Formats: sequence, structure tokens, C-alpha cells
Amino acid sequence: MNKNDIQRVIGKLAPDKEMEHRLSKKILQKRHYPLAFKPIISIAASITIVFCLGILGHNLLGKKSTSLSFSSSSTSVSPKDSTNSISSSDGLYIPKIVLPKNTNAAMDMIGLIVYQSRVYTQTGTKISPEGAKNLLGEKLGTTKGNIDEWSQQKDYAVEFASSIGILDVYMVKGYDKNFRIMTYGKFDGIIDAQVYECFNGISVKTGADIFNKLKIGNNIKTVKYESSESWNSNKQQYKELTDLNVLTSFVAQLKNTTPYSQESLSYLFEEKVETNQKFIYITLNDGCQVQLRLFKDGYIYYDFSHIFFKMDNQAFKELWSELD
Amino acid sequence: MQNSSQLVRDNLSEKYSLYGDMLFRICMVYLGNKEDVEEVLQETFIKLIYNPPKFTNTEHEKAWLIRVAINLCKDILRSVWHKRVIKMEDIKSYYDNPIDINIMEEILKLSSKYKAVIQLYYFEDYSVTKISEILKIRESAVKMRLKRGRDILKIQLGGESL
Repeated sequence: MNKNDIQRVIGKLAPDKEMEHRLSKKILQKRHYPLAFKPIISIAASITIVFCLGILGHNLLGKKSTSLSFSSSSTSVSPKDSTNSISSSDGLYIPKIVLPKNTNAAMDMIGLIVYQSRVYTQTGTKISPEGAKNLLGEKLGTTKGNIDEWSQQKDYAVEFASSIGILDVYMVKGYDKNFRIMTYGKFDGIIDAQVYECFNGISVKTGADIFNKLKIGNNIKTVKYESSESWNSNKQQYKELTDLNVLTSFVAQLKNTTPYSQESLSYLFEEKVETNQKFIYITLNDGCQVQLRLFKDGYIYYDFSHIFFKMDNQAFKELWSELD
Repeated sequence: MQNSSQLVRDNLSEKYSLYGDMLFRICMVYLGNKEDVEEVLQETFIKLIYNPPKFTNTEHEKAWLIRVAINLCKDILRSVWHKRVIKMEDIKSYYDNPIDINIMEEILKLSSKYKAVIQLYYFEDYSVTKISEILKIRESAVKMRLKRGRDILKIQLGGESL
């Protein structure tokens, strides 16, 4: 046997012509995850993409405004000006989403819904089908599915404008609708529900401004965690956290954390990924599952909030050790 | 709903045209039957389309897909059913030459850890360093597996050196 033999026999293995069609059909039936629009962008490589967040962060006490912007994807940070990073311990103000005039800016598309002049985006919280049924609140309307890579600013100024197609939107029982709403529907008999949250037009002075809205405290059912290596390779090698006391102490301290702009600490996403990051998944009694990304030096990131929260407390170190 | 469905279809179509054949080959060598391979491809593309990590470039995306597909193949191989049943009928349907069938049977008999490095090195033309990155194992381990894989194929077939 030689290299040519191996190449010849392996090269003869090819999928039948119908496989793509079958996969497409099955994949469409499995809408268990929030849509990631980023790959779609690459289809239209020559076409300018549409949307970014304009973020104005400033020191709330010192009134020393600092302008910064980053892409709306939690995993793709593209600051306009790297000198504009914010590391205030006094808080952040996140203004409403605006479209850039310069369409050559680095941008991404994310799942979003416009409702009552607020922009709700996909989030680090998922919801189980059973939980969704119980949390289904008053129907607010139906999205228009009118936003895509080619949309203009006027397209966003429409109630229930969305980048997620046409879906029914509901309140989430027990949660503030100014912060969290959900889409809900049945597709081929399977319940599909996604959570959307509003992280713009708000002031964040401490972790309480975000984490209190998630209602984690005294509401924890189970907790599992995953190494960064597993997460990055999608191995889904979860481990159950059995000592919930450690997590309870950690959750109690979330309200005291200090917010920092994502831009100012974006290097954390790339730094010693395999050893400096861990993921925890907190399943609540109501069926919501909150994912938090932990960074070794005490930083906590909640997807799509675009904020790092620093916990200077022993509770973080104890939880970090527990996740080894 | 139609809009997002179409976006998913378009996205899948693009990614499938880029990676579908490659992933199919890798998984067929691992699993040896089309049904299991289709299941793995389905799960792999679901992860890519609905829940992808950040990719720095297309090579990163490709490497991630290979790793995810191989991990899913391993999951299937760990199942009790697969430990007892070896399917060869699917593989034979791809060949009309008994020599090719014989060669493929020998490749399929390899331990899965040797299959991966042999395939990535000899068919996909990845370097030892790149295979090390994709499989998340040390370069020395890649080299060792390559050597053992070569030795096994050579010994069992009595053919020329790779």
C-alpha cells in the first residue's frame, strides 16, 4: 500500500446527491439553538453588512465620556478606536443601538427584535420547551422579519422589526418585559422558544443592574460546567456541580460585581483560552438556563451583554477551584 | 419563519458545498456505514449553523468541523451496538475493484486513533503540526500514531512502505 492507494480508495467515498437535501430537511426541524447569523454573512462577502452597536460608555460619576463601539456579536470585537477602552469602576451607560453611517465598518448580524423602541438581542439564556410553556405570557405581537444584511436604518424604526424571520413574540412570566421577551412557536410539533433581552439604553453601575434581572438567586435547580477546551471543540463534556453552596455564595456576590466594557477587556477572550476560561450553566426552577463564562482573574461574562463583570471576592476563587 | 428557514438552507448549502464531501469521507472511514455518517453530519452542521464558536478564518472553521465530526464519530463508536457490529456492505458499494475493497478493509480495521492521523495526513494533506492542532494532541503523539498506522498497514498487507 502507498499514498496513492490511500488517496484512491478514500477518494471514492462520496455522499449521494440527496444527502444535502435530507440534511437540510432534518436540520430545519431541529431549531434548538439561537440562530447564529455570522456564517450567513460570509455568503455575501462582497456585500456590506448592516448592523453594529454604537456604544457610548462613560464614567457616571466623573462625567468623563468615552466613545467606543463594537460589533454586535459577542464573539467578534472590532473597536473603532482601541484607545477608547473603559475601565471605570463607577459604571457604564449603554445607549440605544444605532446604525453606522460608514457602512465599511466591521459589523455582524445578530438575532434581534425591535419592540417599543427597544432593541432586544439574542442572549446567554436558553429556555427548555417545558419551561417555555409555563413561562409563556401575554402575546405582544409578531415579528416582521424585515432586517437582513441589506437593511437600512429606517428598517429598524419599525415596531417588531426583526432579523429572525416571522415569529410570535410573548412576555415571559415573572420577568420584566422591558428587559426580556421571548419568541415561541411549534414547528413540526416541536416547541421552539428563544429568549431575547435588551441591553441597550441602560445604565449599569453594578452587577445588580443585570444579574438581578436574571433572577438566579434562590431559584437554582441544577448546575453543570464545561471546560474551555470542551466548549471550543463542542465536545459538550459537562460535569455536574454537586456542591451548590459554593455556587450560591458566588451568585450572591454577582450583584456586587463591577462592570467593564467588553472593548476594554476583549483580550480576555483570546488569552490562554484553554486554562483561563470555564463555562457554567445554571438551570433555574422555571426552566431557564443561564450560561456564564468565567475568566480566571475574576471576570464574568454574560453573552450579548457586552459587559465584563469583575468579582473581587473569595466566592469567585472558591467556585473556580470547584470547577477543576 | 420563511426568511430564517431560507437563511438556514442557504447557509447549509454553502457550508455543505465547502465541507460536505470531506466530512463524509472522514466519517465513513471512522464508521463504515452511511446511516451513522449522515447522523454525524447532521449534528455537525447543526452545531455549525446554530451554535458556532468564533472562527478566525476558514481554516479554523474547517479544523473545528473535523474535530467536531471526529468527536461525534467517537461517541457512536463507543456505543454498545457499534462494538458488536461491523458493517462492510456500505463500504463495498463504493468499489468495483477487489483490491480497493481489500485496502479499505485494512484501513477500516485500524484503531480509530490511527485512522484519523493517517487520513488527515495522507488524504487531506495536513501537516503533523496541523493535525496536532486539530486533534488537540501533541506532535509527538501524531508522529507515533502515523508510524504505528503505517506499520500496521504495511504488515497486514505486506506491501510497500508508505
